[in-house]
Amino acid sequence: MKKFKFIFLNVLTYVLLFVFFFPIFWLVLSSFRPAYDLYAYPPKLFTTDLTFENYVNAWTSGDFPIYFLNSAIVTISATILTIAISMMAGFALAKYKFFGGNAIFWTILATLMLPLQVIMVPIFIVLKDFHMLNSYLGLIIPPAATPTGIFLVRQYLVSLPNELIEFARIDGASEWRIFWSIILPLSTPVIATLSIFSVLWRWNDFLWPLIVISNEKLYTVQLALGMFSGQHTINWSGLLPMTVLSMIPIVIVFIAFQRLFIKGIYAGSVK
Amino acid sequence: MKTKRFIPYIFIAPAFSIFLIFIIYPGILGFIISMYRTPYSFGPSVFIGLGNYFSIFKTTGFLEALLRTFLFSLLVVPTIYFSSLGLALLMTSPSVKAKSVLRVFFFLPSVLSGVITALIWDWMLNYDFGFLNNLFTILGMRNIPFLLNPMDAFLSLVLIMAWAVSGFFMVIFIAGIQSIPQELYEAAEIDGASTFEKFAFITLPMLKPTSILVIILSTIQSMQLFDIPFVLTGGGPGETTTFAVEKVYNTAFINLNMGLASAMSFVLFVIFLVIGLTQFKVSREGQFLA
Amino acid sequence: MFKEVFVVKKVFVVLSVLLVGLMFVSFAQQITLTFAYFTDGPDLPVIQSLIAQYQQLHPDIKINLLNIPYSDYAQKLSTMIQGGTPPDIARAGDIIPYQDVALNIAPYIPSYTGESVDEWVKNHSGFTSMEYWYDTRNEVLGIPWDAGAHALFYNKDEFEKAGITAPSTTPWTWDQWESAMEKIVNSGAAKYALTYEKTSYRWSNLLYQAGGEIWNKDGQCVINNENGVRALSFFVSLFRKNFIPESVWIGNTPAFSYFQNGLAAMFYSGTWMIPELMQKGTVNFNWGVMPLPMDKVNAVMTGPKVILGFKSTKYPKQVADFMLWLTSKPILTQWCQQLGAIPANHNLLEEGIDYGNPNLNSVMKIILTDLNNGTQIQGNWPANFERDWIVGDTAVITQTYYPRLVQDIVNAISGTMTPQQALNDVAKYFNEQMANLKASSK
Repeated sequence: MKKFKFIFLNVLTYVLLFVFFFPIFWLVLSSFRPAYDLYAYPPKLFTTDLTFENYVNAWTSGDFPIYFLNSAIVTISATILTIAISMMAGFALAKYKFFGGNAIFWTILATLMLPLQVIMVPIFIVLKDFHMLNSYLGLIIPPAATPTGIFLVRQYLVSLPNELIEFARIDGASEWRIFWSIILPLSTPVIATLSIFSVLWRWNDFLWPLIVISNEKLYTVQLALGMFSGQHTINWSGLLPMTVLSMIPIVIVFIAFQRLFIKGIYAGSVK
Repeated sequence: MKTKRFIPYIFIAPAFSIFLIFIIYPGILGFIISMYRTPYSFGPSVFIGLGNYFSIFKTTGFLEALLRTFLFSLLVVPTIYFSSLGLALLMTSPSVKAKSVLRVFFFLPSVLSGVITALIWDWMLNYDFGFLNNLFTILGMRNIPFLLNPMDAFLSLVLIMAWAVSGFFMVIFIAGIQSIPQELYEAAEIDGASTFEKFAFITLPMLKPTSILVIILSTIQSMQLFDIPFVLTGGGPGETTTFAVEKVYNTAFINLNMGLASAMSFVLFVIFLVIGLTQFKVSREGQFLA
Repeated sequence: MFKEVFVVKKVFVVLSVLLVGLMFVSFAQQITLTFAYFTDGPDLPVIQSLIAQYQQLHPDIKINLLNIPYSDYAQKLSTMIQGGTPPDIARAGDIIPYQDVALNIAPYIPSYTGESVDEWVKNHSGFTSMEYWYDTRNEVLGIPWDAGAHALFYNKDEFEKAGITAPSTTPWTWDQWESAMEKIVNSGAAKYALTYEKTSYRWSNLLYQAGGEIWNKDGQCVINNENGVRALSFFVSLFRKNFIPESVWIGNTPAFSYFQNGLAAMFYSGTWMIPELMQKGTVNFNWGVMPLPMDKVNAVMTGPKVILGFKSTKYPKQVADFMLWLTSKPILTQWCQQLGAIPANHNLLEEGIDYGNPNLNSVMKIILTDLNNGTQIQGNWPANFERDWIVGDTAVITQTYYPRLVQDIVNAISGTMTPQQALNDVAKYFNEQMANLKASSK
């Protein structure tokens, strides 16, 4: 019976893997072929005439080293900031009953529900008044406050037993100490999750940089990718290679942070 | 002792002040814009109070787009929930090998932009040169016009969105599953619980906060879906896959009517808020998922 | 006493050094102009090299090319304008949305070009609404830059297979066109005969060829008259006969994909595709161009681009200077040569441009002859086209509510409405919007 379960689960996994990954496999393969093969009929899958030409042309068509650098600076800084403020805010919302707590939580969550397109102009004006236009700060600070991130942390911390905190308070620990020495270490899974997501979101941000940046030297990779979409056609032989390249950092981060998805280590601490 | 009262406020201050300055305040400004009639050529605007809000009902297609959005959400949220939970269970199951590598592959679709996702699925589903229809031709079956008739296009979008975001929610579930104390399972095993029982009485209840998160987030995301249908179906056939945000976009940037678009956005905002709050309240009362 | 004089002398020296330094600084001070731009791919390196040329000629000016993805262009520009930091210069498809914020360059024309404003406008008009703004407001709000003309491309290899010769000077009639399509599909040369870009602008070329129009002289929408219905019925019949793929109009697949992979033998698009088609890797077959088929009228539409400045710029003279330089004959010639583009300048058009490449020359010859014989050039500009797309309230309605037209065409194709019903719906909607517009501008 156990063996059957083993086989079934593994087969199921690989079938699902095919469903999820096959289209992306085609995408990556297509980035190595000329544009006329993209929609080739019958579809081309396994051919050997692959070329790096698209990659070379796309890379040299713009200042991609700078774009990647900008994206990296923004992503890393914003992620660090996101973790800091989300952990703090999530902690407050999950473990304290305070006046206006619910209202604040809902206000924060509500900001997710406002489509960005239409408040673009007011945001632009605010950024202008704060002199954050065309600057890294403008790209790092506002997006670092992510409602999803705070929601994520809150839900995670809600399920941490309150006894831990009670005992620490009885022992005379300050709130900050509790946060720093108890909550944070136990939050490794959610910090890992939040990091991956923050990297994903900031790296893939498009609308926000579009609003903030009016200087090509500060373009992020996503803005640069947008350039491949022309008025009448899309330059697939430029867009596909650069898309594939821009996926790589996220994959690396994902794999690196995987290790932090370890099972809850606080399991034994209640005893 | 007195400072203790302020502690939560201090903790929440950094995040909240950013929201206040960069989202809430502009949101209020945006609301003010919604009370003006804005001409198409950046000329002077005229204050019309709630005029735009009344126009929304006269705007052809907005209410229909809203209804479609609800229907879409109703179909897609359970789909996302079950597929991402399923994936997460597989990816934390001791029977499955090489989990940390496999997880990446499931996560990849959520890394793609809307344009690329649309390209991929245009290629997969196109009636003439799409991959699936090619397969059908080889197998001697008839081609399916996936994107050419309203029902098929609608359902295709449901599946495509699920494909695109399941990896993301899978990661959230994995974090949730991994923080369930192992002792609970060990104790259950001693009591002779079956796999199903372990799932139903330990995993699922312990995942309640995570489940709430996934459901609320996927509801919001699905009601705001814009990129993928915009490129893949153009809102068509006809207007059968035009959702709420696309209507706002068209009003703002093709009809060049910012005032009306702003009003539409606020109506949407209120609706989403009500739905989100309701979901949360209902789940609190325990009448939600087991 | 000595001390004071010494101090005064010192101060004097310091001050004069500062003064000279300041003069130096302001002399060497750079003027930076932001140029909002959208690209279609091949034109980007060309504009970049032209900017480099200009900067060499004017070392005190730096032009910051702000390349914005086309689909976000309106959003971004609108945000910048409403947010109070518009660019100095922008490339645009039309002046209408920017009429209240565009820079009037009339004062700078005589000194730069040596012509009077009247003369200069005559040389550039005929392609966009520039003349309209000059006539109604006495202002020159933008300069027509280049124009793309609608063009019908075909796959030479597949035509050979089907045994068809494409025309090169005399356009086919719709009947001839249809029988060619039948031949292509029946001979198996291609699955579809034609792929047609899904835009209201592209479709309206058929409307004009059938003798129809969107608006009449009195500002009433008449797209549903018998000529309009004829145009739409013809178009719909192509779908019924399976000459043209549904996925492009009912779905949203880009029309070009069907031409690119050989599934369709003809491609109704425009001259902007030419630089891309000439790049290796775009298509793997021989392609050519033919005059647009005609019905009652030989109509060939163009899609012009303009370059405009913004009123709020700090450097109006420099902006006007750059705009005039970019659209001056020698520079415009360079631009058109490298991109197979059609200049929006009467003189240049009359003189003709040598595109330097025999293939390109023969392609452009067909296009330009067609354009010449067609009704959209050099003062033969039909009033209805201008009224529909370029000037006046009628154009405003068309340009802001065109999605309704696309939607109704799709309804006719999918059979949920007859062509007459579909166009009736468009007429009703457009007339309503016109009434709204008139009411709100009182």
